[in-house]
Amino acid sequence: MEAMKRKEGYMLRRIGKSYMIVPVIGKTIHLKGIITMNETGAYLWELLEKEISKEELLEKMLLEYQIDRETAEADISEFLEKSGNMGILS
Amino acid sequence: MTKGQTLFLKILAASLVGEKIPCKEITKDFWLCARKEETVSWQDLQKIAKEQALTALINDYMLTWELETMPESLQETLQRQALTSAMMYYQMVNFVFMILDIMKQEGIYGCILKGIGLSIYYPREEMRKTGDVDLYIPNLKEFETFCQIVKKHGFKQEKSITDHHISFSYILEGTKLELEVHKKPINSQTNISFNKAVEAIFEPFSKQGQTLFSYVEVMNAMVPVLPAEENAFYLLLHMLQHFLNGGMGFRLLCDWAVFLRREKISFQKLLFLIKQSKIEGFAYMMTGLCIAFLGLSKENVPWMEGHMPQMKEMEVFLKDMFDGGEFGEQDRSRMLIPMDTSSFRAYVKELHRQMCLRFHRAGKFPFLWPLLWLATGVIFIYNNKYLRNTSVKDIMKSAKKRGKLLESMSLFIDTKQKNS
Repeated sequence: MEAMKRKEGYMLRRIGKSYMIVPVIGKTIHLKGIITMNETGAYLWELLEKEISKEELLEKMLLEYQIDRETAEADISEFLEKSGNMGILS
Repeated sequence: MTKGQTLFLKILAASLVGEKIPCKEITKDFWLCARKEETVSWQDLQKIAKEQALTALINDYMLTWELETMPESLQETLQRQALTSAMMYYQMVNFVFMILDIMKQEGIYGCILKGIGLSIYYPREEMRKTGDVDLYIPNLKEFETFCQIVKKHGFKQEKSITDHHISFSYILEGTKLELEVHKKPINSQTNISFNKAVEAIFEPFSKQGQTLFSYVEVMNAMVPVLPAEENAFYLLLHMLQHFLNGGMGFRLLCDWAVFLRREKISFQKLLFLIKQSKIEGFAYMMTGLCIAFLGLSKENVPWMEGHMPQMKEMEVFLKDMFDGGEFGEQDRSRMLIPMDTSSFRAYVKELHRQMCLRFHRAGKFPFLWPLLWLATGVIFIYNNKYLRNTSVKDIMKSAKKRGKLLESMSLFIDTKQKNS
């Protein structure tokens, strides 16, 4: 199982009812690189602080939210695909 | 207080603590824009929040805690506004980082006053409105050098009628941002002994500022600020300065409340600074308001024991804050406040102070004073008529009323003298 982790230099912020991942590189906040996400995305982001596999993410998500396995898998895949495209995971 | 004002304070207090409060007023009807006499509406709350420049803070609270009854279309609007506030905040943080970099390159020492250095004490730092950057460079030589250097970096000097800072503007990614470079923490006031006391308190920073400054972490970077006690004292001075001009609103009081709640302060030292400058009455009033209306716990301010102002006095002050809005902008007849409403001398002293601020170079030559007083008076009358759309009579009436409020706080009077 391939483990993954979030890259350094990003801060998770809650704004109103949504969340933002704010890239702070050096001493500059990259406004154009800010990513907004919902509560589930923020939860996954927090889990990615340490190395974790997709399967572990799924298990934790099922424990945290009352959703079925299929929905959780779809949510995680979507999140990982988007995050991968943006280059914020290592 | 109106029902709207009462609810505003209740929500404001909760937003500063970051907790939900039970609000029976917030029902499905609350969100309807139609105004009914007996009830409070969302419209009433927004009007007050806007006047006090606290819309982002209030709306963020509503978005976090009051979604059950809030219409979905409004949720979307508020969410967009919250994201805009956050983006503006991040831009301001970038601006501060850029200024601090210039200072570092040039070996100049200074610290950030209020602004992002205070935002971090809020439950959500992005929601504190930050209009500009206030930079304090206590060493006069370094202050002058820095003001020349920033011009080379593309900053444009702006006109300002004050003797304690120079204003600059800068275009960052298409947005005009403002920087105020301070050589003194606040404007000179009419009371000379007060000015001297403040000068003496901040004097050590001009000689060894770099070793005395503290640091706070803002978005993963360290930002220099005044040490906790001087910072608290400065917040009081800043509120006082605005109160003595047009007025002060709730945004400054919120800063005071969150700072006292979250910062570790040596109260012995803070009280010493307050007593040195003889502003105990004002400090007790501001802190009393925070305890009574903004959810500050008495445990955070043990020095308030036995000094809590009477509710009647606090309500008079609250009314002044609500009537004036942020910086007294809601009342055009406000612009000055005499220290002694019964004495003509107090008004003359204020005229002289205004003259010194407006003509700070020519004002150094006493033989020019009669001419400059006349010019200040003419400008005052002209501005009242054409810029403020108010009359001298209304300004004097407002000044007298607010002066009485000031007298109740025994400002700049030795409390021992007053009691004897």
